[in-house]
Amino acid sequence: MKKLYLLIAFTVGLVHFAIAQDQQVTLGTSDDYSVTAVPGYTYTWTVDIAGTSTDVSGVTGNLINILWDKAEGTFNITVFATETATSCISETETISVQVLGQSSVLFAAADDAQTCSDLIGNVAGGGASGGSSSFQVQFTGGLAPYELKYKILDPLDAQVGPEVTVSGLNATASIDVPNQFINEGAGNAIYKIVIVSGTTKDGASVDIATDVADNTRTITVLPKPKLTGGITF
Amino acid sequence: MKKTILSKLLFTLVIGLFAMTNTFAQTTNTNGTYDAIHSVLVGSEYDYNVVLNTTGGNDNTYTWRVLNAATNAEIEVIATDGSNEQTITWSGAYAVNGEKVILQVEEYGDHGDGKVCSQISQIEISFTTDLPVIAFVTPDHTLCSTEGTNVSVKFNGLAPWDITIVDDKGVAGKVISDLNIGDTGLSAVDADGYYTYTYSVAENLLVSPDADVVHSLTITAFVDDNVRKNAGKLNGDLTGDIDVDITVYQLPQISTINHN
Repeated sequence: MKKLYLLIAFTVGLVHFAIAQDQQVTLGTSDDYSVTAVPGYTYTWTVDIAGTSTDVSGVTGNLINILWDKAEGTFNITVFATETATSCISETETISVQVLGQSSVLFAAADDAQTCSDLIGNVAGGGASGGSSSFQVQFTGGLAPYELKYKILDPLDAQVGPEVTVSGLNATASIDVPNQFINEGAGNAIYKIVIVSGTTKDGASVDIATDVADNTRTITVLPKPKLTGGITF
Repeated sequence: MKKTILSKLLFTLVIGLFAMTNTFAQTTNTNGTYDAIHSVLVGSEYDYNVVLNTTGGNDNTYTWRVLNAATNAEIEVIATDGSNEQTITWSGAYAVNGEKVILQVEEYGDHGDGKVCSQISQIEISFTTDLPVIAFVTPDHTLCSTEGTNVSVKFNGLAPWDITIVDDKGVAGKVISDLNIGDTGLSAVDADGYYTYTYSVAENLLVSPDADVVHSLTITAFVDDNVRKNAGKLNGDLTGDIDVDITVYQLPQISTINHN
């Protein structure tokens, strides 16, 4: 019983103090931090200045907003309350915030795709037609999960349909592009899948690789075989 | 061999007190003068002694007397039994508040040839019926939970002292036994004959997790050496400012930090 008590006491002690990190954020984002307000209390906040340019020295309320704009790393926020009537102070509460670096994304594998042309009416034309082409993407930095937008360009580089948004992506993920292409021509039609933008979980923008080899993949749409002359009988 | 009177005059008698810290200065042989004063509470009992001296004669017997401090007239012969130690209870008719007597010890050295030489040593005994007094110096005050504080009491009388301070919440009290001059926490005597004793109450003892708590401290016992040796007294004067309240405020409660 004594050992159990000691284990519980040890565990409670750990919970009261900040663990390795209580929150992760992306560099360049801001967040609100607060404690439950009590009438008659003022609050004194401190933030590691290595992580933020926000000055909280004059704040006496129960809420602050911190812009994590200085550096990657782990930084502490502390607060204690002062009861105005007695000048007594509370215990100090602390959380630890890990600031993740700027995020970026690119196509991770050389996985250009090929599919058969759909038939008229977007009827599957065999092969991969009717299914989807899958492309691996790789995010680095920032707070997952991510959101990505891509567009489809036809062989003349005209955009086909609206930009497509894919959400809930982990650092390594795949986007699946429906194979709904019609090629009435005699030769292959090369459609491009281009990454347009990305966003971290906490709303920070994701840098897009600038090299076309990293931000663009292709789907080659094979032409429909042609039947000529109709059915003879 | 005859011993010269000069050598006898060079004797040094020392009056000491059994089991007491009230030691008096060493006296030299000076007839009719004294250089030590013992202030006693009427009715108190003390042990007195002179150092047994084995030189200057063969018998070294002692006579103990009480003399009138103003006239040196003999008031009482306490003992002629030759002992260098005496226990005296100061309750005679001359033990009156404000009055003084002289306690004299005469040592005799009989050289066996008809010549008896003697020397005396003496101290002044002053009588009082005033009990030693004690009071809190520390005023009523407030603390935040987990703050520590100091508690001070001021008192007079003769060392060593026993003092008991009770906290009704059980953490800020103190039992002090045989407090003596020079002990940690005890000040030097001031011009009025008072000492101040201070002790610290550690911050981890004054905790108010749920509500404000008032610690009511009371001095319940105070004994100096006079009272200790007086069969008719239990405590010194406890009619002064012997109560103090320390209010410990609950700490403000703060939640964990929330974030979006």
